[in-house]
Amino acid sequence: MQGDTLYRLSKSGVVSMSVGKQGADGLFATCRNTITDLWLPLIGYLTFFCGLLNLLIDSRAMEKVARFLSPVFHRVFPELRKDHPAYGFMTLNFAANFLGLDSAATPFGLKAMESMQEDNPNKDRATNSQIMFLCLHAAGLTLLPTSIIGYRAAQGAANPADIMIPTIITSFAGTLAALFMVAGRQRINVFNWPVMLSVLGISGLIGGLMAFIGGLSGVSKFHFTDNLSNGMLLTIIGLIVAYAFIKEKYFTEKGTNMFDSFVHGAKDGFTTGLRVLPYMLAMLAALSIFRNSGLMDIVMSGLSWSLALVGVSKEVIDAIPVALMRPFSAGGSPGLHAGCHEDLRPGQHHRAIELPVPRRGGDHLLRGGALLRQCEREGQSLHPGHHAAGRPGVCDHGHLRGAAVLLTRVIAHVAKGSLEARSSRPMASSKIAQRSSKIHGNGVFATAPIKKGEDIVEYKGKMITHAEADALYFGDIDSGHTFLFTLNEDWILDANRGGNVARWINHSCDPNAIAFVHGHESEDLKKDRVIIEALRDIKPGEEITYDYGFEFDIPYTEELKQIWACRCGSPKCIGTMLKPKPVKASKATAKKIATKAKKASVK
Amino acid sequence: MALSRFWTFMLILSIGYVLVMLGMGRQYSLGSLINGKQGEPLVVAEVDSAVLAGSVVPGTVARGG
Repeated sequence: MQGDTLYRLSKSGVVSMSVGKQGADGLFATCRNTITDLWLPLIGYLTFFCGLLNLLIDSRAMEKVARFLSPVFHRVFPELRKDHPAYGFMTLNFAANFLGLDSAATPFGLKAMESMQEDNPNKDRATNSQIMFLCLHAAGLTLLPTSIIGYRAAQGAANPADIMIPTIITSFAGTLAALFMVAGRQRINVFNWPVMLSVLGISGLIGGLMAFIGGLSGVSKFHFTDNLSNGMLLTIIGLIVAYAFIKEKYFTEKGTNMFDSFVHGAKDGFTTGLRVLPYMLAMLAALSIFRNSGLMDIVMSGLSWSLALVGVSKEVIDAIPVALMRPFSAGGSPGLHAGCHEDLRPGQHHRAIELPVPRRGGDHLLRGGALLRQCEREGQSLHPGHHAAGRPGVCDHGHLRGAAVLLTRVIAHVAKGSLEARSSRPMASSKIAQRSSKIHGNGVFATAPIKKGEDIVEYKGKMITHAEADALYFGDIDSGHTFLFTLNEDWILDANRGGNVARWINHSCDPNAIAFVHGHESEDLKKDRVIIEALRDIKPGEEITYDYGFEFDIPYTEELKQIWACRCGSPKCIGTMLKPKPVKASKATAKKIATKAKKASVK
Repeated sequence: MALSRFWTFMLILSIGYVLVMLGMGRQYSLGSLINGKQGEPLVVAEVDSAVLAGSVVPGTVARGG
């Protein structure tokens, strides 16, 4: 697998070159993560939902659900008696799948299987009902694919909810195919009015939902589906508890109460969870080795080549690994799926182009670039004297790609001491105040003298990922009042939440301050901080400004410059907040800079 | 039975394949298979920084300007 080349310098002085990224966790990480990320959460879901299921059973609601659905279910699962408890579990399993809540669907599915297994005369052989249920469950009719939308949002999709309609259509087609194929194999006649009425009813529901969602746009789609699915889950939980409360007499008759009934069911769920762990671990560990060995890539390449020969399109071929993984591992397929999103995720360059119109709030992709360049300049000692030890390299972007990372890493180790010294320096935040500004809306002003090099204030805000920023603020072009600041390639400070006075600092072409990202000495990008520092002595009453350094990967049209017009009023004002595009340095200039940097490092 | 065979062959073939690749020099390290994490860079070569100190760093400085 090819990818970006990354150079890293370890403390032992070894430079390692990496190409591409690891496709799956290694064996130990897989074993650990299977427990921590898959099994423990599953135990939690199982415990909770099996507790709820027991409320359904003890309140006799399950019997009613089974009776109500038996005209349909009995025709699809003719082996099961009309009041079989598995009907209730299946209903809840399908409902959870409808809502895209995989985690909630699993406990109900397991309970349905267990319930059918009790009536299975040959314990080593699956019954027709179990096979039918497995196929219908695997087809997974989904109305609200919240998990997939979540993956897409996490990977920075422009509109994560775009997947909805294709998912509904394909999962519906898959479910119908599963129903008819298994019914044909098991010689079950499903062409009768209860089953057909159900199919038509679900089709109508899907059509209505698609029509409604089709009318929504952008973020609204995501918010609607998210709230609808989670709202329905909460409603179901509320209804179960409320029904159990109304029918509390049944609990009394059994010599128990609602809470004890819940706990009894929860214990059952916990036991079920214990039983599934070995299966999960065995399969995921083997898959980890299979993927990381590179053998899976070879198998998939061969498969793709064969399918391409018969005219299958590349889009379909690319999805085959996920489709093949799905029957073997419900945990592994989402991992592959997420991997596909990761591989197909546009790079920073493309993401910048993706923006239809750059906006103040959505500049997080761009302002980060400007800061990075500041760091690089700093690394070359073009801003001497900004740091306690007068040494370059406070900007430690440990994950930059290409040869530049080597330089920043080398310097970062040299500058470690000065970083520690700096973090303990006091801030001049008591010397500033927010007021109305002539530049734009609010501004931040000095209320006392601030000396050159003094740390003025830290730019604070809730830490969010780029994907979250895209999901929250994408399309929010006209608001002009979101405050996002790129901290590094992983994190963004969202000063809309938990922001401080620093978010009001305006841009100027002749700034008296500068924003620096201060990399933490550990490689934990979450610990990086943004500090606004005085570039020169600032008098009381003077507005604090820094250069936003916006830069876009699209041509600077007059319209774009107008959108980003600068109103700083400085004689040096260039009329726009957009930074001029960098011009490639001539060899002579490059040589001069190199010489200057060498001299600075000698000092 | 089918799942059992699939699981067994997946393990044996994968381990065999990776050992052969290591022997042929097409796999640099087995560390990632055991201790690696998803998304981590795949190391394909390592050199002592002393070998690069005279060439890469000054070159990078000139490039950044």
